[in-house]
Amino acid sequence: MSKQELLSNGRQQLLTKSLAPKKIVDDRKPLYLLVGVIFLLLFLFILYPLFKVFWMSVYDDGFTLNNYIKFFSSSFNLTPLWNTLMLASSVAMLGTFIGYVFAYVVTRTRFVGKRFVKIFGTFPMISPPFVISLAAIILLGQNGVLTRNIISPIFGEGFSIYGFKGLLLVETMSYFPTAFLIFVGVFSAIDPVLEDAAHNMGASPSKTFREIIFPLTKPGIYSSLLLLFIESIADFGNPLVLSGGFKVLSVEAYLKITGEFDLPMGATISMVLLVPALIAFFVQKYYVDKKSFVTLTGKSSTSSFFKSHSLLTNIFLGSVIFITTSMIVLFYGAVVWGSFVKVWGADHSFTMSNYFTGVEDSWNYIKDTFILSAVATPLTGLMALIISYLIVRKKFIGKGFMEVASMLSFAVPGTVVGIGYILAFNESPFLLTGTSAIIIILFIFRNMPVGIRSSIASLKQLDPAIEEAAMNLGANTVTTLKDITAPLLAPAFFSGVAYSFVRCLTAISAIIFVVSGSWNLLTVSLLGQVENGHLSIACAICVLLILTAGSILGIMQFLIYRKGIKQRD
Amino acid sequence: MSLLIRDLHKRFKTDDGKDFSALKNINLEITDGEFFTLLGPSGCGKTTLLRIIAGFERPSEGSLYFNGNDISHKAVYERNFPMVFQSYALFPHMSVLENIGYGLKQKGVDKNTINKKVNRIIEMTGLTPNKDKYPHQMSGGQQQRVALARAIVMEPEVMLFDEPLSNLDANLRISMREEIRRIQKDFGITVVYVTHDQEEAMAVSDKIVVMNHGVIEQVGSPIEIYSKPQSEFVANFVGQANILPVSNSGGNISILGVNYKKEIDQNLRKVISRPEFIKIDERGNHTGIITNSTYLGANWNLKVKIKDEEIAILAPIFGNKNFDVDQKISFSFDSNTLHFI
Amino acid sequence: MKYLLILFFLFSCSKSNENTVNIYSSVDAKETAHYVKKFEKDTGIKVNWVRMSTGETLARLLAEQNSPQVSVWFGGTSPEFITATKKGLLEAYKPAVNYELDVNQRDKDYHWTGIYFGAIGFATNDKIIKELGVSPPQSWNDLLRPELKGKVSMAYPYTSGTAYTVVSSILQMMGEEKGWEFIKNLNGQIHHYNKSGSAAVTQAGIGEIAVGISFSHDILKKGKGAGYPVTLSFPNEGTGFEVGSMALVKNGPNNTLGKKFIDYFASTKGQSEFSKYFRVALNPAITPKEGMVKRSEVNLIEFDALKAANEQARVIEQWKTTVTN
Repeated sequence: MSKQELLSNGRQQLLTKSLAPKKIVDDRKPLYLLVGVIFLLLFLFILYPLFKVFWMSVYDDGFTLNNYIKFFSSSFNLTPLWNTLMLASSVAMLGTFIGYVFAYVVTRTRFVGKRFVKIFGTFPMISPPFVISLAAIILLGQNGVLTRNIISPIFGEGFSIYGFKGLLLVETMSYFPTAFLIFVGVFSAIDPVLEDAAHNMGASPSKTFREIIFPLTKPGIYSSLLLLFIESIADFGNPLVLSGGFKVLSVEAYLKITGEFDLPMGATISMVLLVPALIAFFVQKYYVDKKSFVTLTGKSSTSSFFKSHSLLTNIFLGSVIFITTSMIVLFYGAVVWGSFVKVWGADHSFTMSNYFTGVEDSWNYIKDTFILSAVATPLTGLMALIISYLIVRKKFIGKGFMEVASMLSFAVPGTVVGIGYILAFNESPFLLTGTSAIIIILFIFRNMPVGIRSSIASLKQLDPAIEEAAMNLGANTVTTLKDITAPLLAPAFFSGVAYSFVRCLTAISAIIFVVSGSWNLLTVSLLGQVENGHLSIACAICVLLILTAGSILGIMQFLIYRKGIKQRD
Repeated sequence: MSLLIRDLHKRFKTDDGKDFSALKNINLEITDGEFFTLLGPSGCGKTTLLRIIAGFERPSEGSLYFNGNDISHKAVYERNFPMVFQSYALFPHMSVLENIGYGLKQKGVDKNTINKKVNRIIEMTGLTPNKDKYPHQMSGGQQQRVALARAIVMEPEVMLFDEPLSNLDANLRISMREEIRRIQKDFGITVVYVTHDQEEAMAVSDKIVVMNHGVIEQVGSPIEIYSKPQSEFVANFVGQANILPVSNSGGNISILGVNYKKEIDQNLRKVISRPEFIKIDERGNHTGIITNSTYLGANWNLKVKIKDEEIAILAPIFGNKNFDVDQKISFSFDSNTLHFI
Repeated sequence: MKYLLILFFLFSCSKSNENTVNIYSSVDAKETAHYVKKFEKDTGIKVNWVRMSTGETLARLLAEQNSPQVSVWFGGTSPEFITATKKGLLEAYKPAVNYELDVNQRDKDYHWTGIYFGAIGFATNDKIIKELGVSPPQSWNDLLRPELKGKVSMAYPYTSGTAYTVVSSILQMMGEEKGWEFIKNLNGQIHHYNKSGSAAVTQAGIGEIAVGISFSHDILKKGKGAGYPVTLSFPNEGTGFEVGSMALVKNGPNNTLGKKFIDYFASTKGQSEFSKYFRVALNPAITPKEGMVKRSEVNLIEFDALKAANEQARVIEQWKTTVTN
């Protein structure tokens, strides 16, 4: 605070103390307290673990770069680095392309069955991370259904799903929904009247796309490329099951630590993994976001959202959609099929027993998973709401820092976070390992960025005058947030909450490091089932997980929809 | 003859699957060089009609002729009816120069010509200092000029305006509409202009079409529309109007119990009188009580209760004379200005 | 919000109590669940457990050195237990039983105690091997047949105790030079390496590969036992073996109960449960059941677990260079 501000502040305090009720003075206190607490939490649970990883990689009785020298001088380590970057770039491009087409079809065309396109465009988000890999083995493994009956007879032996091709396939399927959601946002923000204007000035539909739509979506394309790049770099579950000889960094870091007990080297690999992810994150945040042209003009004139397209375009769009959705149907269908066969790969007679055995074996995991998710989810929502409110509506020192720090955990690969957590919270003063708290905290800080993002977006659309009106009538920061802002943000808030609940159910990469004897999670046991070959049971649990996650999201959407209607009435 | 609209209908399917008629049996003729305004409340179909002319929508029935050719099924981008949009629809990723030159580029005009034409328009519209700016760097008024320039540069035979001034503040709105009118006259362009603002329509148009619920209520010059409205709707929508019942029997007409000498058609049952044409007169043949009185600077706006009717009167300021509520007041209609429907 | 916080602390604190012992188990989850249930029923002591592979457990214990979360490490191959002893992670405790184990079946000071025995063997998918036109491998060199190229599977020797036992056995049996030569050739036959040692059995079972290298009890249990067409065979020239072990963790949270757990699974009562999962118990009072692999039936090499443990870091490094080049 400048001297002048201090003075005027002081003056105001004197005045208000004598004249006005002390409410006005109190307003700032809860704000500062809140900001302080949030900063403390962000430092402790996001930055400190990362620092510990960094420290582990450079400290060995004094500062040293030996680990990095060792890493970069061994081809055993460098190959995974190139593999990771190559895979991530390919997934980013392919996933962005598919997501773009899906979003274009949903927002700009009259395709029959657009609703299904929408469902398929988001479906892979609600499934546990390595389900698709499991399906890939069922279908396309050495002894897979498709390999045996279609690929080998036609193309001959030698096909292998393990490695780059397979990972590209499954990661694209897992992560293109992110691109899809980005582009739905981008396309909806482009006023269709711009297309009208271009047509009106003599541009044909294809020219309008090339010269107007495509340039306007470019920032979105960069965002999507970078975010998918980050997601692929961070992916852990799929490579663990499907990488074969194709090594990637996230798994290497995990194996380094869990297999070779080499914490310093594991930390070093984590740092190497972290750098490209962080670069992508900051480029996205500070370069791409700023360049965005797309702004809502507020009042949009009447326009036909849906443009007609040439036959060729329709065939092109249709085939992208068709191929992708049939892949999704095929892969998830394989999981469902796998869950009903007796001994998968040997005895394919029908049985329901996998479900009974699965639930019986995993009952404790299921219970723990739901309890922990149920505790973590509302807290995640609350944190996201408070942070986004502070960022959008309040002025304080270190605001930019708060925004970056709170979004950071999105960019940090789960493996790195997990390693950071075991390093940071394994000794006093922050002894947390083995408690449920560490899992809950990890859930909160891993899933928070999604919530913050959606809350910031809807907060920006909310007229600040509404909150000013509340303050004008005597409410302070906290009560305004509680009585006015929160209820108005409820739809966005609850869909964010539902989504983060689902993410709790399906998380693996970071959580695998912090599960303990007292608290265990379903995805971790699922991975064990896969690893140990109880594949049919793993399929059954996957099906149950997907059904649960799907119905939670469905119910939430229904409630929000009903609430929306009520509000409008 | 320039644009001809024949028996045009437009039906939409609503969300709940019902048919909705946006336009019903529209017949219009828009002649060369005419400033033609579509006026009406929101939802009356005026924008739909404009979008059909532009080619964004296809008519459900009927046809559209341009210089004698049926263009109903011509694509938007083959029509060359440049439009100024309500939200301006400037391309956010293009500078002012690029925005204005975009249409010419589509036509395949060579670069030199484009440059020449664009620069001339930029100068004419006073945009020179802004020519390298992007839309988001400019004010609403400047964006509006760019939108206008972008359409004019096409040297169109017909230019379309979709509520172009509704996002501007009051003063700017007036100067812009004068500018649009000037340019239209200078270039001799045919303009089809959509607005819901009757004052704006009166100020710029050669001809006004008043629309309501998808049908045409009246076509005419501004003077005709104002002084001889053909329906209660037109009378109320364009300006303020007192609409009173008339007893009309055997050549004798009576308004509010007072007889007037006027030859009118037998089946006319109502009279329209504009508030400014009612004269306050101590010897006036109607007397009522003031129920509301507002001082407007140039006028008094009065509401006067007489019998069961409430009459609006716009009285010029006359000396220090005040009008108070509950005061008795006498007035008379100028029989020359009465319009019967 | 207050309620949420209260809820949060409630869940953070509960679940740990006086009568509970925490363990890490390196045997299968389902199997662990079975043993734990028996123990809980017989002793009334409650058990919280996590299943992790041998390597993972060692890494976790190392990471938690300053505040151990468990009292017992149950199951897994002995070299890792030897390493853990050297790193000072384990507490010496001689189980209260009436028999003495051979010195190669336990730590000399009882930092760890052997509980079961398993030999390295081959899991062969009957159907696939017939399609390839060969017979199940009867020697290490059979694995190098050209028909089996890309059809063999094992785990990474640095994540799996099983796989390290394989590598170590080969080196001890064939000698360094020939051993590394063999490992290099074997690498050419491997489809891909897994994280967990027994995964190779399932891979053979579902036909992803033809032959998996794993421990005999895992092959019996996850092969035929799970309904897969899998045959167990052993290399004639000799094979390595494991001494599955358990140990008390130093400064564990509830080591009094941890000792009871160790006593129980050293006892005849505890170890007789092993046969259900084809593990050969080390307790001399238990005779192996029909269909299980007895020590006398297999040609075992003189496997030096201590040597294996001591040279682990070097062998792993060399293994990496060998398979990369």
